[in-house]
Amino acid sequence: MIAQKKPTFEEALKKLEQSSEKLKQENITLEEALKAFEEGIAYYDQCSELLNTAKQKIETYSK
Amino acid sequence: MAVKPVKVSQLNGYIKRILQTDPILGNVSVVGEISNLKFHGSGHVYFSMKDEGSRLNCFLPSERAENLRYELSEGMEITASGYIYLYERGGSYSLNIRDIEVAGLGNLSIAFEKLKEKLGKEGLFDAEHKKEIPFFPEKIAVVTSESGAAIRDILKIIKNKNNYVDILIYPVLVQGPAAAGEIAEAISHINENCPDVDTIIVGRGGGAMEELWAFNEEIVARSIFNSNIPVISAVGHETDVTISDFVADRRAETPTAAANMAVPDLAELRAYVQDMREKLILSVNSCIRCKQMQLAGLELDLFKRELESRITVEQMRLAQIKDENIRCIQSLVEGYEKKIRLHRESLLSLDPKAIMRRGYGAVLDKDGRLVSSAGRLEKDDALTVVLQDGQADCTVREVRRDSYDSSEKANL
Repeated sequence: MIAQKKPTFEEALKKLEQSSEKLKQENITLEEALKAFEEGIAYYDQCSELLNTAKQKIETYSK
Repeated sequence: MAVKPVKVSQLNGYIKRILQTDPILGNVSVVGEISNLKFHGSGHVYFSMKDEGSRLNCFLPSERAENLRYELSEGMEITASGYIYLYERGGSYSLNIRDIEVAGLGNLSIAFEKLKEKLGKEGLFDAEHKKEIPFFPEKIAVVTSESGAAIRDILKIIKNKNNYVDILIYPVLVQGPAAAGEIAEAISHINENCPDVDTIIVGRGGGAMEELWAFNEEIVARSIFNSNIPVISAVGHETDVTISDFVADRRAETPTAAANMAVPDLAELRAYVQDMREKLILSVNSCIRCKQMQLAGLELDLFKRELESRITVEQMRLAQIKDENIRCIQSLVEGYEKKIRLHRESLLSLDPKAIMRRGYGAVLDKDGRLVSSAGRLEKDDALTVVLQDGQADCTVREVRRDSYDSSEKANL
């Protein structure tokens, strides 16, 4: 299975926003709502995981 | 009496030797104003330097002109260094220039405007070349002096708002003749060897125009323009504007502003994402609640009664349809029976055997055709009489005809 390219933070954030929009639609069915919710939470997890990895590296280039 | 006369070329040759062996004239530096400046197609530049009392011809070879740090222009005061050279054929001497320095705000801004105009015409500042600064970079590079205030400010700002993005510090000289070359080299190096860098900040802290001059040089402008990685130019204070600012994808007024622009504030993003999660939970719960209410609205027994009544209605409809079908079939059958009986009767009535059973016979002529009128018979005709149980051949002895009206005659 090709390694699923880790989505960038922007992509995950955009999808999270889309899920929340979808959930706000009046005529959404129960199944669609539950699916949108699950996806939304998954994207939330990806975003918060990224935001909480303090991986910062500071390096100085030496010629 | 005068010394023995010599030829012109000998004299010029002698003067040339004197001029070109004099240690001072071999490496002289002279100040003056540029006039009748000419850029030759070959890249060589010819002009003369003058002051209130005198004029000097100058020659700037193309390879020197290329990496000159200033755009030359008429009326600009410069300091040119080089050596005196005698042009024997023309019998004139000129300064062969190795390098040119420009000093003083007035001259520098002339050079600045000249380069700005030149690059502007070439379209290096056009908006469609401007690239988006990434919103959430993984890694940024900072091209500035290692010891200056700029890098300290940038690191401070980034560290306290974002502990995710990586930072590559690329130390360069930020003033003096060699600075521009190092900055340009740094930008192209990062483009070639650091594909993981999303944004480049190039700049320095405040300083006089001379000190910021590297960021007004053409090679820095071109290396910024050619960078595939978005570049934020952050040179000096708010009031300092350099050519790099015009050509970069984004101008930051100061290094601090550049740091703020380049990386997002993680605390803000965490809060935003958290808020998104709450919104998700709220809306899914409200959706579930409204579905539950819909369900509750359906009282079951009412629902049951409704269903039952629907069922009886449907059954009645079915029964009705069935009766209709039966009636329709019966009437069809009756219709057919009647039709059949009629046909039968007509057949029976036309059955010749029935007549014969009552004693009658059929008279046929020699061709087997029925004879229906005595008018067609003649004496000695051969006939056949068919009775119900057989036939007989007869011949006519005598014809006796009855009287009849003309219409009968027409039917012969």
